[in-house]
Amino acid sequence: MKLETRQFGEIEVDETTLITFPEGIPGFEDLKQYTILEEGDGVFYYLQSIEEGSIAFPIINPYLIKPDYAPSISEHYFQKLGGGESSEFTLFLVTTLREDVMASTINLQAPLLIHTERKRGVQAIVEGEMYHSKHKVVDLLQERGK
Amino acid sequence: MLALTRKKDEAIVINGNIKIQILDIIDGKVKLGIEAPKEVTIHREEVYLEIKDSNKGSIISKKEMAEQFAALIRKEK
Repeated sequence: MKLETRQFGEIEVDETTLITFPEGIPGFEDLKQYTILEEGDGVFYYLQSIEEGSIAFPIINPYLIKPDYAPSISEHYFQKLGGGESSEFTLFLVTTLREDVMASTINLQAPLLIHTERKRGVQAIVEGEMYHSKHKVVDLLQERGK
Repeated sequence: MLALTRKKDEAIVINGNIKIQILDIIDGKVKLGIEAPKEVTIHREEVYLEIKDSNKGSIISKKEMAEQFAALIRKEK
């Protein structure tokens, strides 16, 4: 299928790659269908809405920026996607990009949890003090470098 | 909004399958116990609003910013 996007112009989306977020994500509860677009060499991705071409969220692989990322995700989020071993799921973090790239932030508190085979996802909200919604990328890079 | 008055240990039932009980009331703080089916998501309101705001601020506005960001992560790797 063809999709008109604001950021990437008209793109061809392979329908087998569609991911359903049955509840949408907070703030976008009505948008349930997404695809993941890869930017460059797998450092960076976009969660692109199918229903609303102008909406795409920049997302990253958590372990690239936070190798010891270990959120305690409540079992009920796994159950929402049909359950299974943790190896069946993929995590992504939503980023907020700034003109000053170092000031960009990453939401470690609400990872996207996706069941890879079933292509179903949910944005989990992690309880606890350790992770919050706006970790500065500069701090995370510094920590990673240690 | 429906307003109900409850005492400690009393509860309300929503939809026949969600029970919210007043476990304790101390110093103006109310401790709630919630029993709900596992597909029901429950959050403190401020946490949910924060994630909502964060998501709204995250929508990509310029592709160049993403490219810079990716370059930064790659460089520091």
